[in-house]
Amino acid sequence: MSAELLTPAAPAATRPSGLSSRRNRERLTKAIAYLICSLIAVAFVFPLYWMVSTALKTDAEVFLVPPSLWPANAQWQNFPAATNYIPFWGYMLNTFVICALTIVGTVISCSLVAYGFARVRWPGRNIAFVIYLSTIMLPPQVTMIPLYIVFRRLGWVGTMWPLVVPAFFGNVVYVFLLRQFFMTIPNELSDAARIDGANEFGIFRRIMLPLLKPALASVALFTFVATYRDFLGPLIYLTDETQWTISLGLKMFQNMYGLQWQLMMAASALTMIPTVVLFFLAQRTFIEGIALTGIKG
Amino acid sequence: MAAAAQVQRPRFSKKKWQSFLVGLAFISPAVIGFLAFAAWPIVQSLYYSFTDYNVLQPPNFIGLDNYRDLVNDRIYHTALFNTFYMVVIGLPIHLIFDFLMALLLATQIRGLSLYRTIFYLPSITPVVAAAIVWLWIFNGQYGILNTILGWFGVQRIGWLTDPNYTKPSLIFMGMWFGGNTILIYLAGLRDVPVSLLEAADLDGAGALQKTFNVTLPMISPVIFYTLIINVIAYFQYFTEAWVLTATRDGAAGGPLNSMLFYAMYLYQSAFQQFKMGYASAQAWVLFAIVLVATAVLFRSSGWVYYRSEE
Amino acid sequence: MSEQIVSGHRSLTRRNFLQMMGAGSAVMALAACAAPITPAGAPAAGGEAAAGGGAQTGQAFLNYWTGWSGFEYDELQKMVDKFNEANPDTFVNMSTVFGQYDKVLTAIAGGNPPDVVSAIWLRQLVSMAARDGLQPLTPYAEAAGITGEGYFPQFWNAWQYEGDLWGMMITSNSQVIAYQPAIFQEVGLDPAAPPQNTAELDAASQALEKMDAAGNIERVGLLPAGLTWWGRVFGGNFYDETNKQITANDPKVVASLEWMNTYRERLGPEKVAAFQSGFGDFMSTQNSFFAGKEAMTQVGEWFIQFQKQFAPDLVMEFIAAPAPEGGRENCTAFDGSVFTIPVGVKNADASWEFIRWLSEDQNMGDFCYAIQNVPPKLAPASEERFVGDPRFQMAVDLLNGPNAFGPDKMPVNDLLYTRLDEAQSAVFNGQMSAQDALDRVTQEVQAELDKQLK
Repeated sequence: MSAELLTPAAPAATRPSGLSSRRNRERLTKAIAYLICSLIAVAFVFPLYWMVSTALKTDAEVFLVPPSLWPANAQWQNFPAATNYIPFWGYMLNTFVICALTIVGTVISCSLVAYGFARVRWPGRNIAFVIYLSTIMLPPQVTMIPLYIVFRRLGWVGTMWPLVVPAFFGNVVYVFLLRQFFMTIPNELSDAARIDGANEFGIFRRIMLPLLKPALASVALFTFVATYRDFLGPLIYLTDETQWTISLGLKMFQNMYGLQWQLMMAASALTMIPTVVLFFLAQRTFIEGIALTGIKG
Repeated sequence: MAAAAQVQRPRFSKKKWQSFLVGLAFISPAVIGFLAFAAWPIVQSLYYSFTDYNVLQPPNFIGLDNYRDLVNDRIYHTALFNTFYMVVIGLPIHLIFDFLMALLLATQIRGLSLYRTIFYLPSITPVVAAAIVWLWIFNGQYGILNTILGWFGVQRIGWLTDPNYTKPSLIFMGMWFGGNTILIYLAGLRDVPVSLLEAADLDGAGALQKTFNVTLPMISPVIFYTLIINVIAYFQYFTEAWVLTATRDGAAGGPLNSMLFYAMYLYQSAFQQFKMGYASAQAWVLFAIVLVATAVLFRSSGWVYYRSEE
Repeated sequence: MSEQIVSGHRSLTRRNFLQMMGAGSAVMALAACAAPITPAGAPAAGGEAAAGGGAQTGQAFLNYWTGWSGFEYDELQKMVDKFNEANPDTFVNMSTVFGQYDKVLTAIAGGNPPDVVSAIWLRQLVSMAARDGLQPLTPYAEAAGITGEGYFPQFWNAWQYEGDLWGMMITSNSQVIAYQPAIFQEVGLDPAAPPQNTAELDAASQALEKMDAAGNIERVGLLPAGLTWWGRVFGGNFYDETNKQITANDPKVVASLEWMNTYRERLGPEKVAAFQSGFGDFMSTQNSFFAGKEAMTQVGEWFIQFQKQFAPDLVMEFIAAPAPEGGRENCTAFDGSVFTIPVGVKNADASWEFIRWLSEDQNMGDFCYAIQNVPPKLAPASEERFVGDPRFQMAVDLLNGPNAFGPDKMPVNDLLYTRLDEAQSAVFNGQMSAQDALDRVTQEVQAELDKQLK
């Protein structure tokens, strides 16, 4: 901050004074923005800090008044202890299997559907698309019960299939995102291929898919995060403890042993790692994807 | 875009049939998905809403009884009230906060990517993990929040135990999850043409004037989009409150049901009490509420300014 | 919307895509490597690798869900191991659903129930049976010659509904109040003369309370709670079986709730709530009673084992709930985990065999002794290893006394319990008077009962 504030005012002095005062005002605005941002950023980071700090305390230290900001003696063994308390890695594996299948299903189905809506000209396309889009407004609570009853008849309650199978039949939000992306690709490319005698699927596979990769990466990331965070779905369908995802397992762990705060925090911190790591590795893909969903005017 | 008009024509040429079939082939996953996971369940749900059905015994048609029960169900009314509280009070607070944060970040301060990361990270952390930390932060006796307020002489507050504070606590916690919206706004703000802002500068407009007269109209479509999406989402508010309040015996909703939300009560009716018919009736009422709310929003969207309409 | 859907972005690069794929596969690989180290022996881990681990072909494989956890779970696992050893043609795989009893109904309704469940409270048994969630055990019990002889009659009766037997318990609990003589001494009360009636209890509680400088609670005497017990202690009843009437607004039940609320009014409800939110894990050394935050606490005879486990040096005594004038002396309310067979299980014969084996005097006695519960059968309950401890003797005497009450046998009893809890917290929070709250419970539960009986 200081560097920016202390920039010499000398060059400004040579300019018309009106401009100079405006620049000063801008600097002041920036400084204030910076200060507020920093304060709020600290507040945003604090819960994460508190999670780790509590995770490293002894059970007696957790109940100190006033609480200590950092444990006198960091209890790193709380982390392995937490993963022993619940079958942490088993839940993680379940979660990753569900995530992987969901991503595969979503990426395949949504790219096909988006192509059909964006690049193939067929009568009724726009009406169909509007009807499809309108399902965004349908609360999942409406379909939840009939679907549960069907999955029950199929014997799928207690398995991951009710969570995974629907992903293979498209997802409105991602279809929308990909369709938007498709519309930016110039027609000349596919027209040329069409003249060369390629069929629509060939064009989709050989020309469009490679171009679509960055957008698919965003879809894959968002699908991962959404599936990883999902709670209601697993809560309804994963009645068998061996099938639990980490989110569900963590909540159950809290119900069972919720007052062993240091272990709860350790398990929670470990649960956060995959999304955090993923974000740092693919930050731009996230950000661009958000810009893409954000519908520009 | 012209295709829409062509639908009206009575007969399809062979070529059109062909393109129709190709298009249909591509969107077939969505067609199946729409029929199997939306259209058919909607109808089925309507049917169940007129029955008494506990899954183990066959459904029993009871007409409008479930809807009549909703009128008299005190706990349902509590859930409805709490949900509206969240939509009417919580949602605007969140969106305004997110917008202000985006404005701050858009002043092109240094270290933008660090701030962006800090504000975005909470919104991709698993809700369960985050809620557990908040549970501890909010703890009446050992919570850090009360400790910090204690330095300023504030008496201990039962954030999650005093029914007067529970919903404000949820709203407070919800601000932490706003990163996604902040980034959407930020992307929108960056799309505001610099030329317009400079023109306003030359006219001698102040920062506030610029915000209200240039920035806000320019990103009003983005605001409208987040408003619609979040209204729908807030009517389904579930996980945060569930994780904070669910107890060992399966009860949830917090003290005096002050954190019982619509989707929670529906879940309890359906999957804890197995009143599938009653829960379906609730789902249909929710559907109606969401439809009306979005219709009202679209109707009153005169303030939204679309650049393409220039 | 369609105008908005035109523009898009294109700045995602191939590099990003590869990065993200790389990250994804790295995480996957990590998870895959880590998976085989899934720890065994964790109490909640019951289901994991063990599923199939011990089962051989031709063996009946039983999934058994228990509500016990912690050291009690470990003790039960010993019994299960013993059963598996004695019955080579059956393998019982136990997992705990502690903290999520609602999963039981979810699983039964979902069509993949466990083969045996004991994570069902006695108070839920009739509701579950009335909903067709359970199999009647009558034919099995008859075939095995189990007629209720040798059982405490109140338990055997509690398992019957509409002419059928729906479950059996291998443990039972009696409710008592535990107190710490040391704290009594500390504040100048005579530890040998614990309170005999509610007036004395009020006085003792007040004397035992401790506040910090800011007026926050540091220790309470007793925080009475739980209508189903105190309502009975005050002489009230909740259900009139002959007339099928809910009587939750019985003046004596109302009086008990008003009395419990005097504690909150005196201490301040928000202070009590803040104090209670600071309680540590019940099953740990941080238990509020062991940690000295409560000088008296409402527990059962099973707390003897808890104390041995988590506070071995602590001296703890029991008393029966002190009753007011016109109330019931030596009154206890019992509940317990009922072993049941859900509808839709594949091998009900094997399920029954497991329940029958656990109900044998020796096995029942061994498990009850390990976790210090009262065996629901007379012979094991009167063994010296139990009643040698005067505290345990007291619990058994209470159960055998005239004022031992179980849950009422009616199909919406679980709803009654939920609504009573709700009424209690509404009163404690100062939202309603005890009379209004209990009137409402009576009216609402009655409406639901009438619907069920229709």
